[in-house]
Amino acid sequence: MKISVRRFPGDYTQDYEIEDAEGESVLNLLERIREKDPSLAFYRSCGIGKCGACRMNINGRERLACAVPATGSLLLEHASGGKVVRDLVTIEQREEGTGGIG
Amino acid sequence: MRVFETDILIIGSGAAGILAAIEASRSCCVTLVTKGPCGRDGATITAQADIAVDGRSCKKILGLPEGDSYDSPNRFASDIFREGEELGNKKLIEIQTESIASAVAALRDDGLHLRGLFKNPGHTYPRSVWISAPELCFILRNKLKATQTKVMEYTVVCDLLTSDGAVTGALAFDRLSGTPLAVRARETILCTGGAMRIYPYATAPLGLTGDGIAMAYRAGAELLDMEFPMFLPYALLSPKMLEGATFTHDLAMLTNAYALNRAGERFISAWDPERMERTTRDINSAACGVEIAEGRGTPLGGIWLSLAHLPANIIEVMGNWFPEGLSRWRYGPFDLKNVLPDLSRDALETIPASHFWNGGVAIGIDGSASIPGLYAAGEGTAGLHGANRISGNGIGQAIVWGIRAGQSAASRVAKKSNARNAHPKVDLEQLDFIISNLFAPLERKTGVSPVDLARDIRSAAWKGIGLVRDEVSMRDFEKELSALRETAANQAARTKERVWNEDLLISLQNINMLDVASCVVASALRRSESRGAHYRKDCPYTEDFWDRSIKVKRGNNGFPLLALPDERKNTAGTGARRPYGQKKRMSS
Repeated sequence: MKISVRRFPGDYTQDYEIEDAEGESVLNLLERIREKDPSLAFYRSCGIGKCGACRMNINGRERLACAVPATGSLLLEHASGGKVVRDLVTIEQREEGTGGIG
Repeated sequence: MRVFETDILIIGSGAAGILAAIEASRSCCVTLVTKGPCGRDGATITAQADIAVDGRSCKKILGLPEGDSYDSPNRFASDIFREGEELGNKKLIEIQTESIASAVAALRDDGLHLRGLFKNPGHTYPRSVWISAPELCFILRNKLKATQTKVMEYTVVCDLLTSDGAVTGALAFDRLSGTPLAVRARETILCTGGAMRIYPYATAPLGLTGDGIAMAYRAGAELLDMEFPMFLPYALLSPKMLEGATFTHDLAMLTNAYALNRAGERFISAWDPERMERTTRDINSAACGVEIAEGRGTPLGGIWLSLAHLPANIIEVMGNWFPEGLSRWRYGPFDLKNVLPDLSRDALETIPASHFWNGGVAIGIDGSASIPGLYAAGEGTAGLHGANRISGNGIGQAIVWGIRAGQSAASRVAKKSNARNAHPKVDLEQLDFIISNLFAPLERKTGVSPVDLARDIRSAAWKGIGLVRDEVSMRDFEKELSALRETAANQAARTKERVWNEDLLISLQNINMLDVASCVVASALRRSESRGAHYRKDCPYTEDFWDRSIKVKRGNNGFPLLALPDERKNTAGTGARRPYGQKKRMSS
């Protein structure tokens, strides 16, 4: 199947071809892609829909990549609202100094 | 390199880390460093969460009418001690059972919903107060925001800094900017959780690689009970997208589900014919482990869990009464009806997945480690659970001991306030050494990929120090560890970016995983019996001689150095033994 990933820095779209595998999520798929392309950045933590670390835009909708079955053609983009660190990794804006979540 | 100074450095942002920060920041300057987003990267958020509180306090303090007044903190303490196979530290257990109710009441006053009371295996009374872990993390995160704590997210600690045997802070790496930073601290509190991810199957987030335990070990602190990593039976193995999900364990505990081997046999009847699948997690895991090891598992190497003997309409409405997460057979964002097979017809493939770390940094009743300047709290510490943790004491431990370590470290800082201007010295040579190790995988052109090495460590650990152990496979694992260590000294990141480099993070975690695994195997080889989460098929009995914990320290040669505390010398050594899983008749 074909997966297109919007990548940063540079803001360009890269296409990957990867074999289908039954019962996998988009996040599982990204992990297999990263074995071939270690420069691809995304964030995985709990993998079971609780921590929210893998939130991204999948075919135009904000979703958790761990909870979306990997089927059909996919366009993956970073989640909106935060600052893009690299590729699919975004963070909430950080404030320097004391007094808040950094 | 940036340098920070702080009174108290806290590493980790699960419940223990955040509560320690909230307490300590009342009187001290506190810096909290965490690998990922604060409150969301630890194991707390993934807990299928219940907090164990004695029945009387449930009724009186928490206002839960189902609480049983015949229960008491003392009875709760005896259950912890008995189910921990008599290895728990009675002082720590007493503090846990006496302190948890008021701590939960305070969280309830902050908005935490107490969703009901259940009885879980190992508890004599219903004590499991069900909560939502994401809700707990949200509340804690907001409480932390209201303090003056400086929070540094996406920052991974590489190693503790030491001077004259005392911890003086840590060297960390900011994943977002790609820069190292040194934190000089009067006191450091490790709240980094367990090392569940040294195994291929785990219920905890990917970051739980035993970092704090390994760093404490390298700094010279004593560890305890390292041979007792706990597995959660019947975690989901397939489909891949839900690997490690724990609702299937709850199905096994709370419904009349059957655990079956490849022949469709309920093998657990040979282990605990009375409680069957509702036996404790250690016995369930050992039983599953033997089936898997002897080739009677599922095609993927797991155990079948089946509801198919039940009428379809009973299964259908299970989703309506389940305590957490399974409403209408939805599990968080997952629609299970689309993801799982038809449960009235087919069984699920499950596995005992690495779930909890019973051992860890040895602590005193104030949460202090055995070396000056260091405290530890929560899952990465040892002494509360002994050889096996009963349900509800994971989050409970994080809450009680996070608060306690935060308070103790703050009062230590206050006592030393006359020396307030003298921040501990930093050993510049040590700093350079840690930084050059940190960046070495970026500079090496050839070498093993950290991702491949992590996979090799995990599969070796599963075989050598997994569910079922024996001398031969553990000796093999020791040899394999030496080879893996040599490989680890030659890791090369496949991409050389400093910002958000996954290979670089994994290369650091690999070193921690190897240190932890070497302590597990050394302790497990020494313990020539089976007890709790440590099951040896070459000695499947529990011996009175081993009614004591094994301490581990880093020896001068770099290998684990073991010690048996003498405290219980008089009661041990009678030579009496009993079959694994059978409780000793209580003498008191």
